[in-house]
Amino acid sequence: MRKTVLFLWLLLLSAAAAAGEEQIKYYRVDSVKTIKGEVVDIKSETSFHKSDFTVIYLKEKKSGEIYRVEVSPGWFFNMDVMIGSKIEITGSCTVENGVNLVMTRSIAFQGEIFLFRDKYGFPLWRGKRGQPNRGGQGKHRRRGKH
Amino acid sequence: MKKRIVLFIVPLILILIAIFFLNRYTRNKIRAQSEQVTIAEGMTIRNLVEVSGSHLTDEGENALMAFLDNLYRNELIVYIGLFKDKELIRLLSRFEGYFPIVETQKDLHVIDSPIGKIFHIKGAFKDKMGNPFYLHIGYNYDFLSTFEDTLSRNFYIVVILFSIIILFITGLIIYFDKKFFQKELELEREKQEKERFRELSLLTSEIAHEIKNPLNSIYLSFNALEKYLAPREEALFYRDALRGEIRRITAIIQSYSDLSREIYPRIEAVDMAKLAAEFQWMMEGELKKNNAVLTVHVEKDTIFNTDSDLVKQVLLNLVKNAIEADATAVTLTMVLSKKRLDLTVGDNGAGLDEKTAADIFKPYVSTKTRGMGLGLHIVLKILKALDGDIRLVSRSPGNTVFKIEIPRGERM
Repeated sequence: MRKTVLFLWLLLLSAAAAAGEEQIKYYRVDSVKTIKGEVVDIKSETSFHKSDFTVIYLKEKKSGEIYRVEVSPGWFFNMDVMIGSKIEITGSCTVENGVNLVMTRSIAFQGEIFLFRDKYGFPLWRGKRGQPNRGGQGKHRRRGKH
Repeated sequence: MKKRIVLFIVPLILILIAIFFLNRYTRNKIRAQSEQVTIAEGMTIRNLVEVSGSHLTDEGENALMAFLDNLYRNELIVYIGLFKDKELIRLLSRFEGYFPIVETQKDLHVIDSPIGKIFHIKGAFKDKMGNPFYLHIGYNYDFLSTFEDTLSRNFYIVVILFSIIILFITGLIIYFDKKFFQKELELEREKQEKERFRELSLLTSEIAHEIKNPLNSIYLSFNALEKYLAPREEALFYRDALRGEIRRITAIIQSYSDLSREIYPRIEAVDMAKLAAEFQWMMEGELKKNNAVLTVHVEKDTIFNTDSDLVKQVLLNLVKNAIEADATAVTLTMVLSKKRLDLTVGDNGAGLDEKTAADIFKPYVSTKTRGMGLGLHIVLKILKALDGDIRLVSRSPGNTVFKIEIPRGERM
């Protein structure tokens, strides 16, 4: 337990350090995969110059590895996910400064799928052509598979 | 009518389908040509980028980055990414982490995105050292989608307006056509009825004329025979009955003669109070026989230009009708003004049902078993000859009221 907490602190520190410098990170269409795991932390952090970006720390079920899952701005994140929730994340997976980084396309939780980006990684919170997205519960959710 | 509607609607639908396909064809054509133009433009940009990039790398990477920053100022650019060999060394994206590059895709291709179509250009160049650089530029050519959307929206607006206008015009045509058609039918029916009535009237008038002479002989012979009758009660009864029937036949024949006869009013100054008094006296016997009372309201010393005989005939027919409808009280009101005479005839008789009331002025319409139904028709005919009019204003049992208007006539 202590080891896990220490590891998590180290991860958070490294992530904070990583967030401080300008990274060239982007949604890689060819590195999309699905990860199943348990939420170990949910934070509001700075990403893409946005201070209220929701970031989930996920412990993968099989390997036990921790992933920093960058989801969406807080106002667009309308899920009842909490620490301990079992979720399935699909997104672009890369390693940035030694941190497993996932840019989320969708999250499957309790039989529902919440979409955050399109298949090329376009952020859905940025709205559609001619109509800005106002967010809100259910705007980007559907039932079924990814 | 249904056939007419189908004849309008089917061509309209066919026109709309034709317009729809024409619009679709035009849109596809415009889209294809616009895409060609965009590709040609993209290729030009790529060539420029490749040449410029190659020169800029000679001046150092900073110059290249400044060039990209400058390029990115263009609002239509969605993202710019620069790879040095396989390493991404510069990314400028307007949307968080959005850089849709797929190795398998062509150097020039189109990506669909929620903000519209994005044209992706990939250019390659080398620096002095021979290091390969790959520049990816995505620019929004959503203007084409906007153009298509506007075209499509305008098309649907035009189609909807066109359909509404066509349907409205069709509706109007059908409505007026129906109305006109119905009116025409009514006029035709009325004409036929008039013709039939005229023929019938001529025939009856002819018959009446033929009967009148022998009937006159019968009446004279009867008067001659009367003095030879024994003064027995039975003989007197048959005498009266025969006289009554002869009078009735005479009256019937007179009615038919009146029906076909043209009426030419003889206008003179008539004292209406006097006319009313004479009429009351004339009806006295008839009223008494039926236990009915006629009350007359008329202003005294009132002179009115009209045909007294015709007015009397009108009143006679109306009052007789009232008596025959079991009325016990009949009211006649005469109101004179400068321009016209208003007559109101009311009674407390049986009244009229709706159907009879609607046709009451038509010939041969009667509620009586023995009547011919010509009385009110003749009234109407007389009033038309006097430029007047008659209306049934109440038909309820116990309160049947006719209102008559006769304009002041011009004396000859």
